Amino acid sequence: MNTRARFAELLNPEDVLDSLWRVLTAPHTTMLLLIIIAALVCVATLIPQRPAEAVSDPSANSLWLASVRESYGTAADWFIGLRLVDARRSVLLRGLTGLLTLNLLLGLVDLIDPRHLLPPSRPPEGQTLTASTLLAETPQQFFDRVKEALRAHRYRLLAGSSGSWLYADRFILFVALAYIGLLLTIGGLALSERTAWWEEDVTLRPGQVRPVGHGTGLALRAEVSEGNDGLGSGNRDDEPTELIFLREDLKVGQTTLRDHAPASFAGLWFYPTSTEPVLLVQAQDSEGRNLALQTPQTGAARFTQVELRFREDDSPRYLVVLDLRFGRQLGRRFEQKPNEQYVIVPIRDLSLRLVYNPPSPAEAAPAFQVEAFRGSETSPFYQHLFTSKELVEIAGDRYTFEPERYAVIRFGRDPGLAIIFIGAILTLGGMSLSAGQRLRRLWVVAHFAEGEAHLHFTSGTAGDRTPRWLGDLVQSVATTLALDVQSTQSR
Amino acid sequence: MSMPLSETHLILAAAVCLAGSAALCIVGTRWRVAERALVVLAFLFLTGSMAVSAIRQAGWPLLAPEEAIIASAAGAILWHLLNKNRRESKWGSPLVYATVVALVIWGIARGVAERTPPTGDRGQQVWWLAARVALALACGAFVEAGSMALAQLVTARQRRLQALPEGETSRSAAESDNSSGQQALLPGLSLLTASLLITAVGGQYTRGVAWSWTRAESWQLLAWLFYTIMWFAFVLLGWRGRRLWGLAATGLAVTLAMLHAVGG
Repeated sequence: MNTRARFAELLNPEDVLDSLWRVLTAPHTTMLLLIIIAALVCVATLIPQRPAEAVSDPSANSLWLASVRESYGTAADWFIGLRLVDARRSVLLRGLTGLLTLNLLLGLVDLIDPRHLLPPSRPPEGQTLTASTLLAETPQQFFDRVKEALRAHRYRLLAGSSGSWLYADRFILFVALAYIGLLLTIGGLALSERTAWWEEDVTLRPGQVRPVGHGTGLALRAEVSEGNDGLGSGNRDDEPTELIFLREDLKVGQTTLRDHAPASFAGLWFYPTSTEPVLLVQAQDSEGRNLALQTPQTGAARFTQVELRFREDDSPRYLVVLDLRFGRQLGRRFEQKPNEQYVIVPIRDLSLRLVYNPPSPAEAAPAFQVEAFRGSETSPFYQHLFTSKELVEIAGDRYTFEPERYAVIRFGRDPGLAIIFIGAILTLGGMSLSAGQRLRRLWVVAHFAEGEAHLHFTSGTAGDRTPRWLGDLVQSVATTLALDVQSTQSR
Repeated sequence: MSMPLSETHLILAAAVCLAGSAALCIVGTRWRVAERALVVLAFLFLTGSMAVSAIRQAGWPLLAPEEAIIASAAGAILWHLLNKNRRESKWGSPLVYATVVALVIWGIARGVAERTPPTGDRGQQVWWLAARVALALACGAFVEAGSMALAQLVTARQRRLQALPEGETSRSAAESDNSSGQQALLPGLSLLTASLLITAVGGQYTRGVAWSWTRAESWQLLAWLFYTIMWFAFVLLGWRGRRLWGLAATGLAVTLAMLHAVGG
């Protein structure tokens, strides 16, 4: 049967709504939608997708577009023009997913209550076995015996309105389970997208109270459980972070964050991202007055204490900048060492370079190195190495360097996640069970004429051959009802 | 001069066993016991190679990306041993063994070119191991089903060319609900779903990110979509025979692309 014939079979010229229902619930529609979704996922896999940062930040967007053009040449204009770079968040993908949800929902209704299945005047595509017998009772009594025989094989029955045909199925629950699972998964994804929020790379210094926000009314405080010294033992992964939850300044809970294991409180999930080394710097003159300090990160603002954050990993930080060459924008990457920071003392025309040295496997604690520079001199006039809190004198002023370790966490709430996982488990269960016990659907149409009853058993499966289960079932029913299996025919 | 036993030696031994088994398959039916013994030996060599690799690296097996390819080859052998209808087509077993040997050579080549040390801590590695085992078994199922389906298509074409009646074309195979080209498909889809689920739950538990659209994840999703389409065709529409073999044979290409993404 070709596609046009199959589509024509779904249409009922007398009832447009019925036709629409059949088209929307047809497994062919599900397959078509899945094929288009798969094509979009394929596009999203092969073509670079615009990151969220580029979507929200115009300057990042132009940099990203420039880098795509640099990598893909003229093809990039096609990707951008056809919006293939946004395939993952495209309206088309959302629309298709919505249609798939509708299709699955209606399909599930059809599985549970198959009222809209084709009438016997137009039996579905499949294989038909015919069995006949001489009638020794009324047609209704005979048909009731057929139903009893099918029920004895644990088939669920749905009788047609005319009383001469019926629909029977078995193992439909397993398929329904997979449908429910798929629907829950899609529902969970939609809920996640609408309601989930995450706060990324939140840095908490010991004792600092930070509001959680998002209407929770909670605040949290982090305490890094230290190793043997102020900076930990050097084995950073083993240092748990204590999170204390506050509501109106009162402690309402506490949890411990361990590496690669989340903690939860009041429906919120907390993940330790890392702990990062920080150096607190203060300066005082000989009379004990605070000196104003600046850093390149804070700009012109001056502080009596600055905190310098270092990174543990040795990977370089890339900065992408614009380079104008003949009016063309290009992305350029520069490396910046992650473990050095600068402090400027404007009143003394002095700058300090502070270098963080992560501990080697043999060392217990990390070390910091301070170098002091005057004006525009390129050679330091002062150098010093320290591993713990230190008070040093540089050019007559006293500088305090206090190493600290801040907890870096991410936290948030995603109400859809549990639904997604439950949906996936149900899908897995439904698919596995339907692999073991295949869905069986059949239509039994009875014709009564000249004292004879003819039963046509049609399976709901396509293919050239009669499924073995249908042959076995018809043989069993024929034995029970003393029928003579006469012919095999396929449509 | 003695040379220490390495995983490469065991993999090569497995490939030789498979080649021998394929040759016995083609020669005739008299050597079935020897053919089966060689296949079992090949499976043992492949699993042994992963064990040797794990012992050498003092860690969990299957964490290096290239090991996913070798494990999929072992999975395909396992599924083929479990396939009760593997003799439906004369070319079925040789084609499966040829695909497995190709996978094994690909795995060795990847390992030689770029041996990736396992990353992540022990907590993460347990999740990865579980996901990789499910994925390898799923890929094995798809490779076996795809190769067998391809062989069925070839056999059907040969019979048509020999002008045999259409009804004689793999009659038993088409009549069967568990034809050799389709038997492993549904368990394979379940295993692939399990692999995706474990990856998502593990990612959420250890990193707080269930899905990150990496190349490997995207290709796994694509393969899942493909085989879900096949699930609808098989379970709800009752597709059997040539139509399903065609899909399963196409699935072989999808699976290889997925393995390329996962193992690369």
